[in-house]
Amino acid sequence: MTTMSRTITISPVTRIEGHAKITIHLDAGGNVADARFHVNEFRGFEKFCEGRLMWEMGGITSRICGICPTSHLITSAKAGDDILAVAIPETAEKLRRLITLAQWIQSHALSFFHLSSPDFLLGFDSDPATRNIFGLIARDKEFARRGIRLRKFGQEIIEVLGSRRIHTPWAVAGGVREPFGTAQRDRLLAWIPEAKETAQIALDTLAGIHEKFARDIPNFGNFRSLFVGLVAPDGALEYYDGALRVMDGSGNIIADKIDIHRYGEYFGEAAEPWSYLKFPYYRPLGYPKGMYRVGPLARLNICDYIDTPLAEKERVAFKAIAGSAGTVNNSFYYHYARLIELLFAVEKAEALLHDPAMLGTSIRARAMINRRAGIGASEAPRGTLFHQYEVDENGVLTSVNLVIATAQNNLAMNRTVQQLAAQYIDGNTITEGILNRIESGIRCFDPCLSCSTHAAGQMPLHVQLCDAGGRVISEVAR
Amino acid sequence: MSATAVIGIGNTLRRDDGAGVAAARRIARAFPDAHVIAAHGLQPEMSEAIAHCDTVLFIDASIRTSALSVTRVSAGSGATGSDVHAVTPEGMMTIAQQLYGSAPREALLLEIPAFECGFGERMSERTLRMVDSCVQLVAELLRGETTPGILLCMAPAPVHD
Repeated sequence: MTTMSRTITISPVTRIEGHAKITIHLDAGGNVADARFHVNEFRGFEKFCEGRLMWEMGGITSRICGICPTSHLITSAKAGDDILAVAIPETAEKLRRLITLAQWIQSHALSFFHLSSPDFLLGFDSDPATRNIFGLIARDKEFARRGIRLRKFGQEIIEVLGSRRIHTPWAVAGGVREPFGTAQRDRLLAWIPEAKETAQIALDTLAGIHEKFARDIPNFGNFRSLFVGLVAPDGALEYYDGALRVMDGSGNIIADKIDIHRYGEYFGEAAEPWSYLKFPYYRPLGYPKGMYRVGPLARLNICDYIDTPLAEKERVAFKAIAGSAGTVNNSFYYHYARLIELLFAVEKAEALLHDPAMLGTSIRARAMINRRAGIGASEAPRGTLFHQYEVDENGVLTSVNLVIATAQNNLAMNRTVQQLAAQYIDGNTITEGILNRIESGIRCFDPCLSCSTHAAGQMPLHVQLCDAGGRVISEVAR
Repeated sequence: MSATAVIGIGNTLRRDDGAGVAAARRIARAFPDAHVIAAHGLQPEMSEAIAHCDTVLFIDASIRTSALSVTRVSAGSGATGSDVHAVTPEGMMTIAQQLYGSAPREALLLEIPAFECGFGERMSERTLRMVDSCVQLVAELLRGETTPGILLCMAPAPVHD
C-alpha cells in the first residue's frame, strides 16, 4: 500500500552544529515505516586539501568548524608528528593536552547549558520561541550565567594558549608555536574553583532532569551497539592519545589496544545516496550491523576508570545505571557522560596547570619529511577523530582522509530517530513537542556538522506531510 | 571598568564580510589599552565584557548599506534569535542586562558596506576605504574627540524601502 504512505520532513534540525533534516516515512496505517537523519551540506575539505603543504594543515583544518577547531588542529598536528617521525617535547604534549581539555570544557558546556538545557528546564512542549538560551536566562539566571562563564573558561584557555578563541594555528607538526608563562597559568588557575562548582551543579541539575523525564528517557535511542574510543595504556579515560578499544553492548571488550595506524583494518565507511555524511562501521560485523557509538557515552562505557577523584565517583554512579546490561545503552545518558567528562576536564586541567613541566621552553621538534604517510587521532568532544595524510617527498599532500566523530555516530543517530518516531508518531497527531523530542534525540549526540563557514541564519522547524507521489498534503512551520 | 568596548565581527574568509574584524584589529593595534574583541560572531560569553561599559560599539559588515552607517542599539529592541551562533547586538544587550543587571548606556552598531563576499581574504577597495572611515570614527570616539550622539549624526542609519 505504498500509494498511501506519507513522509514527514523536519528541516532544518535546530540547535545542532550545522544543517540537517529528518524525514519520517509513514505507511498506509500511519505507523512509522522508516526514519532518516540527512546531512545535506557538502564541504569537500578532504579533496581541496590535496596539493597543499602538510605544514599548512593545522591552519586549514582548524577552519573546518567553529565549535571544535582545536580538536582538528591537535589531530592534524599529531598526523604531522607521525610524518616527521618525531616524539614531541614533554612540555608541548602537556600544553596540547591542556588545550584539548579546554576544547572539551567549552564544547560540553555549550552542548548542555546552551543547547540542551532549554528542553530540560523549560520542557519539550514549551513555546519554541523561548525554548533557547534567552528562555533559560529568564527561567534561571544564575544557572545560565554559570553555564556561559564555564564555556568562557574553556575559551579563555584556548585564547591564552593559542592567542585566539577559535581557529588558532598554535599547534604544529612537532609541537606547538608558543610556550606558556606563570602569569597565564595563574590567570587560568583562578577559574578552577568556580568551574568545578559549576560542573557539579550541572550534574546535580541533571539528576533532577532524569527524574522529571523518567517517562521519556527509555525511548531516547535505547539500543545495543558497539562502543569505540581511545583509552590510556592502563585503561583510564583518555582524551589525547592512547589506543582504540571496542566494547559490545553487553560490556564485553571485543577488540583492545588497537594501534591507531590499524584503524582502517577495523573500521570502514559506507555511503548512502540520501546523505552527505558517511556511515562508518566496524568491519568485522559488516555494514550496517557494525554500528557503533563514539563520544562521551562510549568513552564512559569503555574506560576502566577515571584518574581524577570527583569524576571517578560520578563514573561509578554512571556504570551503576548499566546494571546487568554491562553498558549504558540509552543515548539520553550522553548528557550524563558529557557532564562527567566536563568535571574530569576541569579537574585534569587543574592538575596540569600545577605541573612545572607546563612552563618548559622546549616546545617543538623539527624534522624533515621522514614518512610518506601519517595518522593522528584524539578524542574530540563528540568522539574519536582521525586525520590521515599521505605526502610526497616535499610534504605536499597527495591524499587526505578525515574521519569525524559525528559520522561515526551516524548509524546510531538514525536508529535513535527511528526509535523516537516510532514511539511518538501515530500518523494523526504530530505536535511541535513531539518533533522537538525527535530533534532532542539527535542533540543527545551533540552532532557537529561543520557550522563555521556557513551563515546559519534563522533555523525554523519545517514539517511537510507528503503522499507517495511527493505532493505536500499538509505543512507546518515554526 | 572600561569606558568603551569595541566588538568587530565577521568571516575573514569571505572577503568584505570580514570588515568588522579588520576594523577591530586595527583599532586594537592603535589603542592597545582599549577593550577590543575581534570575533566571527557575537556570543553570550561576551556579555560580561560589555555589561559594565559605558559604551559598546558593534562593528559588522553589511550588504544592506552602501555607506558607513551607525544605528543605536537597545536591549530587547530587536530579535534576540534562538541560535546561539548568531546572537544579535540587541540580544547581547539583553543578555548583559539580564545576567549582570547592567548594560552599556550607549550601544551603537557600525555597519561597513560589503560588496564582495565570495571566498577569499582580500577585501574590495570600496570596503577597505569604508574600514578606514570606520576606524577613524572609532578612534575619534576613543580619544574623546567626539561622542556617540555625534557619530549617529555623521553616519546615520540607512533608509530602507
